[in-house]
Amino acid sequence: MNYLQTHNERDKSKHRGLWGGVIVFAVFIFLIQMMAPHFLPAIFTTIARPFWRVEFSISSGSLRSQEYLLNENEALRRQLADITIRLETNQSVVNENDELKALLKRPVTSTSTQGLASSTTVSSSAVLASTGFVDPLFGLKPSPYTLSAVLKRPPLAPYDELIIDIGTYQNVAVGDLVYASGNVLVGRVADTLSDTSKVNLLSSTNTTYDVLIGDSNTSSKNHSVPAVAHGLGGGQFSVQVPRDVVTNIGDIVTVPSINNKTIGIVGGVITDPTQPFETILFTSLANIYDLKWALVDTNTATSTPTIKNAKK
Amino acid sequence: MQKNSIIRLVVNILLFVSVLNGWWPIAFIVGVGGAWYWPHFIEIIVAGVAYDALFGMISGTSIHGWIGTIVSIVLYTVILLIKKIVR
Repeated sequence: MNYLQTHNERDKSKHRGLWGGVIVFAVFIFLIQMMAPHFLPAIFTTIARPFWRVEFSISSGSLRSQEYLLNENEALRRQLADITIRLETNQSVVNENDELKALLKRPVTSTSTQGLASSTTVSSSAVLASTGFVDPLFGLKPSPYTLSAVLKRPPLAPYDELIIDIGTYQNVAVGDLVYASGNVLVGRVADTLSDTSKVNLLSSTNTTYDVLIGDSNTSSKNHSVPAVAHGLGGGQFSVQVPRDVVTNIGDIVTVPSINNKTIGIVGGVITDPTQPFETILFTSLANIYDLKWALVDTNTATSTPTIKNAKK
Repeated sequence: MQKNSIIRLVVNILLFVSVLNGWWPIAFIVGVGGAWYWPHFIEIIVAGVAYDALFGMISGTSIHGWIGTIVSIVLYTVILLIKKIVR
């Protein structure tokens, strides 16, 4: 009697070849990545970048009607005039801060002075003016920041990172700090290609930073509580402090340095009477889900980094 | 045969767009569907590698940044095994 053969030798060898192919492919990819870490990202980013740019242009309003753009332009001009007036007021406070630091014999490193004095400054004022992006600290003055468009952001971009449209051609280096509008520190450059960069957000999981949790009503650092912040992803952080420490919702969280870079604001405090510690939850001041533009401090790599104790 | 090729092309475009935009849930579903429907849907592995090349694969990091590649290879092999058992 003859039976139908369900698995013959030919099928077996075919499957064996397939398994071998998959393993060889995986090893090949791994070796390429080890020997030339930018090879694969460069290929795929070159393909993806035009699509991202088009998507960004559309989302930025390139296809809007002329009338809409004129109205928007008018509204932005009014807003700009309003902000300019506020900026002049803020500038006096910045000057006062500089004077106080000088009195205390601390180097005057406030961003306004740094921006005007730096010879390696990349002037982004023209770009800022053309885009209507006005940094509250710099206004339209030349700054050490380079403006970049955020091509991809969470939650769609995985690994809690941003992809920005500037890279090594614009002097961006690994470790450069990245700010959102309002001088809010949001992350730092993790990898650069010629025209794009990957920015690791401060809130990336398994990342810790030294922070100061300060009273929002006082500007003195003496009232700040040092702590270690853990990234929870998506612009969220958690900190554990002793229960005796008084922390309120709305307190500001800064990175310890003379410049006091603000990174977040306390959004909740979880206290358990049975535990000696309380958990403070804070969120980034900038809404990372809505970031369209980011400022990259291209001088970070050559100056003292603000964040010293970032651990991964 | 031609119809099958057109369907595969459409699925590949969908997979490509999903990966490009970082829509990983859609890429996952399309990839699993494709791997189940066609005998050798290698595109799922290419999509995984492309996904990591675009959004992960930061030099100097360990397994972080390789999740797309690992998941795609595992999916491909597991689906292949299941198909071998049930068909």
